[in-house]
Amino acid sequence: MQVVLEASGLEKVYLSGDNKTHAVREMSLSIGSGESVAITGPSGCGKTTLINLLGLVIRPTQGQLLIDSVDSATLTPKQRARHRNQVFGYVVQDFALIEDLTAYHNVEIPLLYRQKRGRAKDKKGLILAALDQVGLKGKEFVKAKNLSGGERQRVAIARAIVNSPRVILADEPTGSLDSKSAKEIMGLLHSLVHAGKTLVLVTHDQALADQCSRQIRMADGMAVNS
Amino acid sequence: MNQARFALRDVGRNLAAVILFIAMLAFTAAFLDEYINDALLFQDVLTQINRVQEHRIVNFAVIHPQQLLIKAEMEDLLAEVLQDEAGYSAVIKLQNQAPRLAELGLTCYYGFGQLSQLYGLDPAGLRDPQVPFTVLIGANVRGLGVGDTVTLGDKFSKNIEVPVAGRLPRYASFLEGGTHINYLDESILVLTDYPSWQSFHLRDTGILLQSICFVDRSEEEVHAFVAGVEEYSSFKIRPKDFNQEIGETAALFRDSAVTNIILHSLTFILVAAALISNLLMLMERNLREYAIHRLYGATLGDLAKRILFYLSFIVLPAFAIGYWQMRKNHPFQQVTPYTLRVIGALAVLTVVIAAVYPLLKLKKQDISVDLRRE
Ligand SMILES: Nc1ncnc2c1ncn2[C@@H]1O[C@H](COP(=O)(O)OP(=O)(O)OP(=O)(O)O)[C@@H](O)[C@H]1O
Ligand SMILES: [Mg+2]
Repeated sequence: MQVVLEASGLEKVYLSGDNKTHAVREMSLSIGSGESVAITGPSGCGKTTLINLLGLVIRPTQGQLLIDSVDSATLTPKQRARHRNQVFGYVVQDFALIEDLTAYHNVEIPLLYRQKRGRAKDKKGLILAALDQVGLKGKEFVKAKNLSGGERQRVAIARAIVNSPRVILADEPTGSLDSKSAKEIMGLLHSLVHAGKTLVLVTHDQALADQCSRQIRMADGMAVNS
Repeated sequence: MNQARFALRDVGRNLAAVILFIAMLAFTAAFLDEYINDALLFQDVLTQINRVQEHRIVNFAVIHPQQLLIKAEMEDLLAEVLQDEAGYSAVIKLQNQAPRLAELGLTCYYGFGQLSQLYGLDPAGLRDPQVPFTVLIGANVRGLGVGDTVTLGDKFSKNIEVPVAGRLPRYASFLEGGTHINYLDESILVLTDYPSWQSFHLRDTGILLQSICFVDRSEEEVHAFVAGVEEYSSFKIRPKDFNQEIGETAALFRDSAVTNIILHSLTFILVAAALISNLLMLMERNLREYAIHRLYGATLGDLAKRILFYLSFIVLPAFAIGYWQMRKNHPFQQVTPYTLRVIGALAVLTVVIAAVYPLLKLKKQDISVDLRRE
């Protein structure tokens, strides 16, 4: 199995005024291609911070992160942006939708920054297929602000998968869904894993975590008996 | 083009402010040509003054008599004093005098003696001292070309057909009376000398005395001339230091050009500052959206494009409107390529200046923090 992400001694310290928050500490892990990894732990233990570190959204205070065996510290800002576009697909904890854009146009965003721009028709097909996969057929042209919580979450998932990323970083992707919808979405995510994608899933739900091939339990920024 | 689309959306969400800025910028841009012209004018005045300052030049203040009295000897005096082309220059304007020129609405200047040398009006050396009249046409004259013949003279004098010998350089000019710059781009200049003029035209001694400049002559010659004029006519003339006068003129031009340019720059800076603060407000509102775009692969360059497009959507229409207004204010003024280039450069400069600070701010953005904004 090929290693996609390899962290050693990752640390993230937030400084706000005199306050120092050690959000992630001594984090070493290795995630292989095709794995599904659940990150669990109490609120505020650093799960979102970790997933942001892995996804090149923030820079570590210390430690090393290899992506496909390349030290992420050596990537230029442009390469980091390209990785965010091609390697990773993010589902952000509170969705991060652009409220006055339609579902369609929110899902379009990753495709705007593709290197090889496909033809417009192909783009449209990808967006509609992604929305269909998350069960939003018929809601494509409703503005994000007019969608329900569950629908917004589905738009966020469609946006994360539309550009066929190799690694899906999902932060509580089913938090706003009822159990039936959550099951559908998890079914979708796991089908992507079967198709060879890598999944890093942050969740409070032990049942969902148990479906993953591996779990990392966090407490106070550290991994405990993973 | 995607970023242009998003910039257009930003314009839409910010429409009232955008319209206000377009109006403000258009208003300042509408006066740009006056400042550009001022700067141009100043440049030209300086060039001409520098040329003239290489010589000692004396011109005359003329007191016109109540009763005009000119003795026959006056003619001899003028003929004698003005026989050497090198020693004097003069220019006389005869509005629409010759029939063909009247038709074309062209002003005709007769330049004597050293005029073309003093002001660099004949760089190609087309004036032939053997030929009594050399006709040059202004750079912008239409309907008349080199080789065409023009009729000089009027109903009171002999008429004479003269071919156009060449064109004057663009912005060809001379200084009138030491205080005024006169452009010849839309005029005709006839280079001649006093004897040819005298043999051919009416002799208005008053106008001639007013426009004569002595070039590098001794004080004795000047005093002899002054005494002669008073003896042979009822005119009284007083020599003036032309060099000093144009020195003062240059200072005046410089002061007015500098004041105008400073005032205009200040207005521009104020508008630019307002534009920057508007942009910062827009960015503040857009930070979350920028973060979302960056999370899915936008580079800072992509966002910079979006901001530059947004600014262009304000600045370019504003300058276009300003330019259109400027043309309406001065419909007869020639648009020089220079004016257009300066306006274009200023438009680009405005965009760049307004963009620098906001872009530097964007560079510091923390995606994860801005994702959580509401
Ligand atoms: N930008 C920041 N500046 C300062 N402190 C931060 C910042 N982001 C997170 N923190 C702090 O870091 C710690 C970890 O936060 P994080 O969001 O990673 O937790 P979490 O495990 O995702 O929690 P939750 O389950 O509630 O989402 C918290 O104490 C949080 O207050
Ligand atoms: Mg979190």
